Amino acid sequence: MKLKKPADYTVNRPPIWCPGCGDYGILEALRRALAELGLPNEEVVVVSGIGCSSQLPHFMKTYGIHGIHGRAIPLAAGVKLANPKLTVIVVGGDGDGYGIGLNHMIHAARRNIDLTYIVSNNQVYGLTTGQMSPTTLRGATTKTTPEGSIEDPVNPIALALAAGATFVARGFSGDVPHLAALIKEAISHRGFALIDVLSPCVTFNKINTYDWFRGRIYRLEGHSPSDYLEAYKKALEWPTLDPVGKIPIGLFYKVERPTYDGEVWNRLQRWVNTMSSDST
Amino acid sequence: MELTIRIAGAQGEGIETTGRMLATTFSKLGYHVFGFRQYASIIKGNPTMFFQLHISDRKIYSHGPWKKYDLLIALNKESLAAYEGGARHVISEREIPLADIAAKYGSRIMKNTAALGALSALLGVDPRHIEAEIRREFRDSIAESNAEVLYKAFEYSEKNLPKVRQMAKVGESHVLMSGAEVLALGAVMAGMQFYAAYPMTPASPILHWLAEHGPKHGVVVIQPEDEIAAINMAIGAGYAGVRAAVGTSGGGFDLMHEAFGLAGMVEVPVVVFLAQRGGPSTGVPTETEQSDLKMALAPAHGEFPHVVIAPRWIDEGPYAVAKAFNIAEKYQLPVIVLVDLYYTESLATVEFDPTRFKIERGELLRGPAVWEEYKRYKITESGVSPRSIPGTPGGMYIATSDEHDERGDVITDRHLPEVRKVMHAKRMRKLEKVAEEMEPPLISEGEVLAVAWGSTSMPLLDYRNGVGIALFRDIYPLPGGGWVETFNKSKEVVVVEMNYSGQFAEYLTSRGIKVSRKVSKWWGEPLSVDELGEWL
Repeated sequence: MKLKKPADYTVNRPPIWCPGCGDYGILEALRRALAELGLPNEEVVVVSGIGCSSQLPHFMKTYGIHGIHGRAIPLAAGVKLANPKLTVIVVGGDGDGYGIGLNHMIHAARRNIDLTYIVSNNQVYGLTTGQMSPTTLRGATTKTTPEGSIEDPVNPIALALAAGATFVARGFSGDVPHLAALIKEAISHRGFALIDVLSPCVTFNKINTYDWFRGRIYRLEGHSPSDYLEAYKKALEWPTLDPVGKIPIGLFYKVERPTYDGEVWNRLQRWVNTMSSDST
Repeated sequence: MELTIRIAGAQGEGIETTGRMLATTFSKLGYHVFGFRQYASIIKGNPTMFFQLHISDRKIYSHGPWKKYDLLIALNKESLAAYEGGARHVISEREIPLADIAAKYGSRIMKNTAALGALSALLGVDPRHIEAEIRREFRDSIAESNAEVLYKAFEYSEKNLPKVRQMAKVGESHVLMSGAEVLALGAVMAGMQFYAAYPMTPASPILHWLAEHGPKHGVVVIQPEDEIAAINMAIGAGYAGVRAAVGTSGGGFDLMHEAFGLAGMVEVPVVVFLAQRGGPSTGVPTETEQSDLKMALAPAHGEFPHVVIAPRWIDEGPYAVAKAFNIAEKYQLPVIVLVDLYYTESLATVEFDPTRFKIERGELLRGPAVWEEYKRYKITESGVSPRSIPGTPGGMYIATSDEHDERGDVITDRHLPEVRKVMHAKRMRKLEKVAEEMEPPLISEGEVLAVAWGSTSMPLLDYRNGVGIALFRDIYPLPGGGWVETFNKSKEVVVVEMNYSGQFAEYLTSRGIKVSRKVSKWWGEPLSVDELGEWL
């Protein structure tokens, strides 16, 4: 394995995000994780949809697709199924992944396609200048909820668990070392991995700020990630049961299960073997 | 020698199985066969579904005439009443106690087998040929009792029914395939390695064949959660360097438009099998139509190059598909293979030449590149730029749906009209080169020139009545060549198509091509040779 530095994955153009945006933390954590894993640049594909955070592939010296809104997961699944040797990472926002593209996450999770899905969850539509998102808290005011949102937010962790994801975690873009470790573990995990990242939008979300999160988050300790029901209980802590209270971050759940891409390629290989034994 | 048989009865009672067995029987006897199924969107019911079989000792292309047929097998009262008027000879409960023979020697549901026994007597087909198909279709005691019913009905009919033909083996056995199977086979021969499709009539049989046979040939086949996922997966696979395709019908393709444009923008090859059925909305899901042409010509917002190829007859399918994959890769763009229910679901005896396939992958970056210098979207005269594939060192780039520069960097965070100007023109320029590869229509001159595209060519090929024909396969971009002269020379140019508004006629007119008259059919039955006689 070649030794790598985070800088090996940088390009010579700076990100276009607002100063202080949570996406910087995610970008840095991803580069660190890749460097620690020593992954060759040409064997990594970073796929995204549309939104501020979906610009991320452009700041990576890797292969990548910056696709259409909400469809990053099927694009990434196609890449992985075509060439399972590649490390395929999906990034995007909460609108992209939990709104318009939500069903793709559910199906990728139940199929257990070997993808690492990093969601930059800022609880607002940023690129379209500040509308409500699927993770906007009830009562929060945005451009489209001037009197406060009357919707309950999606609970991404509980949803991923229910869908059958084999690796479910939450990170915070204000804690890059912790996030980098989660991403590294998620990439190493064989199967569908969701990392929901609390990632403040400094321009359009004046409620869920870095300080707001710092006062609430705590690291999951003494929690056994192999215990599904325990993971589910932890998942309900926020935002389902207590929208303003304590927020656990870390690895909620992890289990080994055959991957879809692995099964598909095993079958193809079996046919290759059958054909070659037929011809001899 | 030419013969048309219509097997009619309630849907779900083995009409299709009977038709298929008969089609196989005649194809093995060396006849050319074409089978078409008229059915409804119900699993069991619909008292008047039928399977029409057109049989000949020469090459045929369609299901034959619609209003007159040589033999009707009517397995219930409703279908006898509905179709008796067109039949020269009839096999039904009236002519032979089908139900009694079936019940006595097998079970009541074997009425269709009893009818096949009667048919073999009537047409002078050795019942052993039909027995062989029964034994391929059924197993064990079911096969035994079906065979028993077949022979008992045959014996009864030999005594009581007139013999109208003596159909012996006329040549070597032919291969019988459906249009869908032919397209799927073509895709495999063309080196396709990824296929994603959400079930939808009449494209599903392509998926079924590939699910069964694809993996043997290294094809990854997936049934995703929806059509949007299907095409995005195929684009992902195409980006990763494998030949990829999706299959759907109009409603599914509606959902794919946005990603179809993505393929155009990021210059990733992808092939879409678009099998039309009656629209709009859910429309007439089990009946044929050619009403998605306009959609295929302009399939998404914005401008980008794409190609439309519509195979005209069943045998042509595999080569048309291979061309679609070659064009997609050489020009790095999305290609639509435009067919319809009449094409995918019909059965035909086919000739197949495996040596006719040549894989052209276009400009691929082979071997390592210097990342600092590599320009994935390099401005070139042809509009095509060498494509790198993930895994290639130094070839890293981001394929972005935003407008981008030569390196693939997004430019939409700034105002860069000069970059937009040349990059958009580069993509659009590819169409000029593609047009040179488009094949002119198949033409046979005549005072009246009957013009068709895609599957409507099939009845026109069987209609040999002195009219000229111009049959288009390569639809968009429109091929160049001398064919326009033939149009101008003809006294009357009649465009024949399966939609209400005359979409192809409009398309030709918009390109300044002479069109004198339109013949349209849009009520869910295929166009037939006898109708062509009336309408041309």
